Amino acid sequence: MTGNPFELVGLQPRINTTVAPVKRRHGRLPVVSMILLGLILLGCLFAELFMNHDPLYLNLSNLSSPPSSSFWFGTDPMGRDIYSMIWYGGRISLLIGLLSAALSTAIAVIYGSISASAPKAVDDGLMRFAELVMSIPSILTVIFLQAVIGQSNPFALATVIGVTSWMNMAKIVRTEVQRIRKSTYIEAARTMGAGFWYILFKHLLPGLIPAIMFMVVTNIGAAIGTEATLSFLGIGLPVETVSWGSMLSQADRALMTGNWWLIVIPGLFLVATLVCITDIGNYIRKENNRKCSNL
Amino acid sequence: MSDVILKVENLSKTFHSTNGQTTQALDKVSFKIRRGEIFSLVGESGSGKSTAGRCLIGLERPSSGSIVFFGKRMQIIFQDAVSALSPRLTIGQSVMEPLDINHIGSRSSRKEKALEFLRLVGLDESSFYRLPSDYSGGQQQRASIARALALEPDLIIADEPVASLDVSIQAQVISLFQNLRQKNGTSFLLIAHDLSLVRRVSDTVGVMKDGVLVESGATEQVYQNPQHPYTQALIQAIPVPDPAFRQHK
Repeated sequence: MTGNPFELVGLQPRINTTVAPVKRRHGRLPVVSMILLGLILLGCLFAELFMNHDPLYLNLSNLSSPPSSSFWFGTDPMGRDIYSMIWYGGRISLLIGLLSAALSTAIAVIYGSISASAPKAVDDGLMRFAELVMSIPSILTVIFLQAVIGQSNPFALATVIGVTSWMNMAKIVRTEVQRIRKSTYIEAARTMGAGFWYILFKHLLPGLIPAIMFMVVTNIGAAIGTEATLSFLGIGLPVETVSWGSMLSQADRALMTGNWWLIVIPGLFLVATLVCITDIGNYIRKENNRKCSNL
Repeated sequence: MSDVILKVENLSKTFHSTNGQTTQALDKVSFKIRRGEIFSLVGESGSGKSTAGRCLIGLERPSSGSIVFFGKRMQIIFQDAVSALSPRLTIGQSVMEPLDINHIGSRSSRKEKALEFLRLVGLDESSFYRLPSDYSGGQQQRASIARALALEPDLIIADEPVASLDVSIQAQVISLFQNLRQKNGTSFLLIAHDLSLVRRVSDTVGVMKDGVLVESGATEQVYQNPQHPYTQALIQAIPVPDPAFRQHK
């Protein structure tokens, strides 16, 4: 043995070890979903480039006309071009999805973190309250809040959906924060002199993101679905505000008159978007579980 | 007093559990650690030796008593290496963390320093960019030792630092501690249950039982002439290699 503090005795030391780039097989990427969702997103973002009619123009000479070379997806009972409405209204639907998911995530992170750090009695109280809210069917809460607000614009709707869909995520945040707070590396950081904010931004929040990412994505999809449900029921967006949900609100009449394109086309886009989002969310969840168990 | 780095007097700690029970983890513990000394706390699990270490570095609030630290920096090495490193930071980021938190040096000099300490504990430079999950428990423990060394503390609290390591690595870690003591005059509070290891490395030993420091003194003196019945029982329980038995094989 030499004076070197660490020397393996009896083993051939490896000289010139080159580290191969770390390659990991990350499961199967949901390529189809990502491409499809990407196309829908691009179409909605750059709706002006794709629309061939004014989506708000009431063409009274073409009421409920079936798909044709002029109106690719047909027109609705008010003479609006459905092809143009899909891209134009998709914006509103996606906006509601993103806004309400952002709102519910913010509430969940704050609520869950407070609950995890609070004394046991407060923690219990907060969690029981979350369960109480969860036990009420969310559609009921949404209808109630929507009635209280009394406005039917996208922002009001996003707020209502956001404040009714944070509970599950808050529970996950609470468990994660409790788990991470107990880790020795947090204690180690404290002994090095790290303050509250350092630990929050460097350790707690980055640790949370993988665990809640799939819920955030799922919440976007769920919010788009809820908007469509509410609009279909007539308590969401009014018919003159174009969104996938408000387009579907004409579906009941369309069934009786046999205007299938009124239901099938917005429905197809809605279902495709939701399936893609769910697929991506599932991939994120599996990836996160794999990482956690890959010790 | 100048040769004393840490003075602990009448340190007590009581834990209150949620169902109203109280546990006296430390009961009026007093001891001194001199500069450049390896002081060992031994005792069975639950005897309060880890709690003592955690009180010293400020992770637990003592119920009463006084702790006076005459040095500049104190660091702790935890027993559980796997949870002592953040799974999301690379080994290099973890070793640089204490320097980042205390804003010591420039970014490049921090990296230089981290690499230096990684080399010192026998880790490859490529470990700087790798995650703890790529390494074994022993390697992770060495990384967390490198992190504790990065601040160049004058007192290191080592809470069972080698309990999770295999025997050959144990010897390397211990000899690293002894080197540091010789080169930099670093003092150590070694918390351990391996009595023969403690005898080999420490200058002074304290024996704890149920939160009470029942005996302390120079290591050889305690091992050869234990005063307290508990110490006597502990020392008798050390397995002794038996040459007579060996010959039968």
